Amino acid sequence: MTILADSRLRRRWAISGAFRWLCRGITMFGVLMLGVLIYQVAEAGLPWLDWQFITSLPSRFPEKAGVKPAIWGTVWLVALTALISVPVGIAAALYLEEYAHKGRISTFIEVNISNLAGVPSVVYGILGLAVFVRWFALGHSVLAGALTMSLLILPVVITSSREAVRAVPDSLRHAALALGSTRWQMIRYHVIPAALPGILTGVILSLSRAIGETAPLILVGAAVYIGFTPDSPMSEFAVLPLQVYEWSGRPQSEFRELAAAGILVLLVVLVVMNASAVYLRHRFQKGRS
Amino acid sequence: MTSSASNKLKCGLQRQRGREWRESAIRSGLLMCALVSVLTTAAIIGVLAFESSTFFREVPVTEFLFGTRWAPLLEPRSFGVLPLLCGTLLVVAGAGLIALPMGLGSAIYLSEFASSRMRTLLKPVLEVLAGIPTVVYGYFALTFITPLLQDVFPSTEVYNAASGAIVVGIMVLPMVTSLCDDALRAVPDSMRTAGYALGATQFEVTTRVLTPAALSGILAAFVLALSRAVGETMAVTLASGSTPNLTLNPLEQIQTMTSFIVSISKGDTPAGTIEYQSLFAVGALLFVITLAMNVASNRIMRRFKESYE
Amino acid sequence: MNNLETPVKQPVELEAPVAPRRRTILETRNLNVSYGEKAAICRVSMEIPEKQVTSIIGPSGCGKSTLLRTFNRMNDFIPSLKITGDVLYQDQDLYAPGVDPVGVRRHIGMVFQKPNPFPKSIYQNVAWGPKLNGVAGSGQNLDELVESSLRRAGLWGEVKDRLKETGLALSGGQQQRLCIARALAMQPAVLLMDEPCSALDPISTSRIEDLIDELKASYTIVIVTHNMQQAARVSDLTAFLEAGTLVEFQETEEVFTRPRERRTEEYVTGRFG
Repeated sequence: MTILADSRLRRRWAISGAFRWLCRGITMFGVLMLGVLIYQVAEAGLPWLDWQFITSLPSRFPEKAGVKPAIWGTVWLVALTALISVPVGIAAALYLEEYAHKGRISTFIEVNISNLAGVPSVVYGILGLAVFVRWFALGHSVLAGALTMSLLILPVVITSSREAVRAVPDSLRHAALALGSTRWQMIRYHVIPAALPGILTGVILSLSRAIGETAPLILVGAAVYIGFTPDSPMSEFAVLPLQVYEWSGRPQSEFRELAAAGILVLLVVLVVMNASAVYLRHRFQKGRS
Repeated sequence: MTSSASNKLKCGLQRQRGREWRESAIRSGLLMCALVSVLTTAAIIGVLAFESSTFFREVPVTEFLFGTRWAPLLEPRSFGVLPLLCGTLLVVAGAGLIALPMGLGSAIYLSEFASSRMRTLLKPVLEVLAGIPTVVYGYFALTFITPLLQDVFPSTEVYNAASGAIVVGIMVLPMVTSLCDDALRAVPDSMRTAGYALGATQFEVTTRVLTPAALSGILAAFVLALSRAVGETMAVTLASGSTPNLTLNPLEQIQTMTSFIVSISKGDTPAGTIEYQSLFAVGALLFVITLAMNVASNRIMRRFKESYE
Repeated sequence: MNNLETPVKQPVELEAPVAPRRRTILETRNLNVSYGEKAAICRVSMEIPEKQVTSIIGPSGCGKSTLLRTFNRMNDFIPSLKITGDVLYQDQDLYAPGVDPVGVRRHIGMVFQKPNPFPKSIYQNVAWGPKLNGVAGSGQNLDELVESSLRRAGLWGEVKDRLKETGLALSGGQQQRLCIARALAMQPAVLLMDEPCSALDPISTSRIEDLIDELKASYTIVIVTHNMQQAARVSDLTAFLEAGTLVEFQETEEVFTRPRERRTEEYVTGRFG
């Protein structure tokens, strides 16, 4: 045995090198898929994407069809979802991080949240259908949809808010308490402001999940064909992904291209939201270091 | 003690009492919000149990679980869930076949081989892939994967299990990758140095030290990804169709549990009928399966984390 | 190539400040190591004799570990690292083209600061390297190699009945001896030890020190330590490193009783560092 490469060693290095290339190839495949997906969608959808598409109602005639009700439905849905889930989610996170003792109750709540995060979205749809649509008699309203979506994203909002709250250094808490503030004053004036950018980042990311969800909304009866924009929480509504779903399922290629155009609108909204989350996170990290 | 001083003290006590009351009210308010999640779980379980109990009053559980024909709308009706389970299984197995090895492979690349610049470049791509709405993947399956499959296997139907399986595989790939990446990075660096110091190549260190050491974390990621595939709805509904089919041929049209739930709630099925109630029975089964998988995954993950603390 | 067992051929005749009495096994010539812009080792030349214990001491951050890791090319993983000068093992340049770092590490084993057994059984921990490098084949040969390695590491008596148990179940000192056994199973010529006792209690430390004493009959040992008493106790030669330069390198007794350099004296008497 020498310190020089012998044939056995050379073989081992060859295997190692091949393995490295294999792993790299696999990774690049994922990147490639993303590229193909975006290319496919853009190629089919771009020619249809114009002002008329964004401002028109859906139609049986592809050249007249648009996504105006779906866009407004999505805006209503996300706004209501934010109004419901953000305060509840942050409050729950504050309780778990600032008040709860390490004990049976908090462990129970934590396990519960982590299990809820894994429940398929369509099951939330069933819940929304039974509780909000029928029991609360909210009908196929945007409010019923928003309540369902709120429950769906709540675990994510809570988890990300907890992380942001946990990242606030204890020295800040001690300083506030030593100056005679009560626990709530400390949280209200010191912890929340310090954690806010992190909380917001998480909230934006969870809301962007709500924008893309379709299945639960089908269950609570969001409309696929609607001639008006919602004007109150009790209005019926359509949403972008559902419109995309409906168009994708049709055999005519024009409608599939409309679906692609709808996807482009959806992706633009998501990119804007994600970019703002990334920007916030970036500023947050800079501010801390 | 002078009277003014004692007054001041009383005043202070009163203020303190008010403060304490306020503090505990806030505390309870926050606790209520935290309990919303518990309430959600209770509501899910309650709704599924209550609604499917009316279903099971008419259809025996054994018939539901072991029946081989699912025809809730056609006469003669039949509520054997096996075709739906089989469709789900087909999609999940196919997705697993794609996503698990590939996810582990790219995780190994990211954690062991990629330069830190490459990593910062690739991580956002994964995040973008994970953030794309599922309905978009459904569109992708219909317009790209299915035609591709039809070129290779001419017998492929327009809606088929394989297309759904492939697209679900691509969909859960980023999740498998980032969870496996976390697991591999959790293995202490001292394991790597020990391996290299004993004269191992990168391949040997990765496959004989790191992967075994991170095994439970990797397993937890796998189980979680499969559970996600079980619950995936829109992509499968779009790509794989809505015909219950007890088959193992991936090129045929099938129906999964999730796409049945969607299709029945999309139609005009009147509430209260037996076919409508079957939605809750299938939902309950779906919930039980995914919950079991998630609990298993969490258990394995906890064990993994404990072993490196 | 394997001239470990052959008797010492060369007569002892080496001039220079360093006068090892035995054949040199490891040698650096004008070695410079830098991380990016930051120089870690400056113009170090030293000859490490065979079957002796050589300790490297110096204040923290002086480059002890970096120097040690150049001997088995464990520094290769740091991309910004630059090495100039020569590192010779049995008169072969370790950094010459064609030299395989894996090949180097088969000859030059290493034990780390913190015990780092694999999360595998005791047996598998020891058998891991030999299996990988095809040293002992398998079956009975491997069993014998595992046993002899564990014996040499002084661990056999404690673990012979539980070879199948995980190495992580052992105590810290036992884990470190397991790591030594694991390195010995590769049948290396040189054993590098990077502060092997710094994570151990005093009793485990003294067991490892006794072990080092036994091992030097068959192996060359280079040990980095921040503990001067330890260097004095276990080593035959001591190198004092400060800010990347070799201040003094000679017999341990001389270093601790009659150092040539004032800096060395100040360090060993505890006036700085």
